[in-house]
Amino acid sequence: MLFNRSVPIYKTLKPQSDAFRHIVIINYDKTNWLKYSRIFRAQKKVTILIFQNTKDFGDLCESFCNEDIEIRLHAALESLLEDVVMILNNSRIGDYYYLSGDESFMWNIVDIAQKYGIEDEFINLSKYGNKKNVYCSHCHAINICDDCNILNCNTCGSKLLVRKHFSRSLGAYLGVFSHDMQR
Amino acid sequence: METIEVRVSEVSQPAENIKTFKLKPIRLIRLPMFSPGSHIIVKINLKGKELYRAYSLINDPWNTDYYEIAVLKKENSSGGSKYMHEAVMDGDELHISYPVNSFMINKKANKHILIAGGIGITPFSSYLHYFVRYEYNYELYYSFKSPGKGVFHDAFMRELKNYFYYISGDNVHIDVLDVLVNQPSGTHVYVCGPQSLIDNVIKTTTFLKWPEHNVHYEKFDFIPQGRYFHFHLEKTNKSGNVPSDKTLLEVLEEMDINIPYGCRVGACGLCATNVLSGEIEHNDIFLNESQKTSQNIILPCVSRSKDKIVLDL
Repeated sequence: MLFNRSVPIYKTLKPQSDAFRHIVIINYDKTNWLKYSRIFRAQKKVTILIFQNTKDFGDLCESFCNEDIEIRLHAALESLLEDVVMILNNSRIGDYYYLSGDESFMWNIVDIAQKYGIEDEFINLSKYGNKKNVYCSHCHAINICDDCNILNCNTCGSKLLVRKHFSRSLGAYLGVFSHDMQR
Repeated sequence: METIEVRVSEVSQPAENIKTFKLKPIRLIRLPMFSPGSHIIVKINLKGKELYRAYSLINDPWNTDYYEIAVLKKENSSGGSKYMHEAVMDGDELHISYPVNSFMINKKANKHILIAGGIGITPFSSYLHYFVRYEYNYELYYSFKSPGKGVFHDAFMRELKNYFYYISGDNVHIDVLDVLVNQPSGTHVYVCGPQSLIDNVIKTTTFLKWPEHNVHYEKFDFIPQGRYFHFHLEKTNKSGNVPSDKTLLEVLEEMDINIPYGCRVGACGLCATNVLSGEIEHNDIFLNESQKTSQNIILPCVSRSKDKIVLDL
């Protein structure tokens, strides 16, 4: 399950022993990368997509990549998402998806994965970083903010209060006109 | 049971031992809309005894000028199918329930695999109208005993693209593992047919680690006959006996003990009733294993007791 009521559930990434393939999609962070590289090193049929190019990646790959583990680096989000779609097009029942990054990053990918029929139980989410999507209830725009409670909508300029309710279909928290909450 | 009066307008025999019946409304202009996979319950009055039999609707859900059902005449039939085959004629009046669906299409799936054995093809007939209309990604695997026993087979050959058939009389069977292995994520499988086929699909999907909710099944060969047993209703302090050719639900209705029900084939769970004591013989596909093992809940539309049972009614 990815939710408990309207609150997303995040876990520590843990490889599923019965997975057919492991697809790891991470928004790069050095600490997390070291952790995940240790976790998935012993697994077979692993594809890791990393967003954000890094200088020290070469060294890591040399010690990490082998015939069972493939790493693909993406400096642009668009290119990562194209790669995700390519993987989803060939996805089989039994493939597990492990996503790690901030909420904005992960829910973007969850949205695409679900359009390809990936069930919740094949998706594992591990959150780090504070960026989140906020849905403007007035103009319907999605804003990205850094662990905010109040923000001004980038599209209509409304002052939004960020509620705890998370919409799985939008991959965003609900932002309501802050005056609505004061009435 | 709230019923709709219909008139049998056309009876035909498209395959050995299988008759189809078109049912037109008597008082309504059109019959109620239904979703693919729905069934109706036909009320049969057999020598003064009321029987209820569930039959899948096989016509296009977009055309509710009539309903159409297909009935297999079972070799050991003591009631329903024999009556439908031998006594029901063009122009006869029947009473049917509103459509009920306990075998729905999952519209979020990105591929649908249908596996049918024998008369288990019937719910898929309305599915296929839907799939073809909306260009869904599907495959149909249909097994029947001999060329003359495959109802709809000729039409499928003409009209369907992804249709595969197996003649079990020639010892050609569906290789379920071969069908289900390496299917894309988001695939759902639907199986209707004999228990052995359903078991095979469940076993295979479990082995292949399919999510449980991607596997859908409907049992068609349920025989309500069973052992005679006695029941007692604790709250109303009434007792009764269930003869071998009736269900507990039918006997309760005869006693004017009306409990809610939906499908009457052990699939929807609406008639679930608490059991205070007694050993239950579960025949439903609604309760999970732990509920069945706990022996404190029964679906009286299909399940029975081995001897005596006390219900919380």
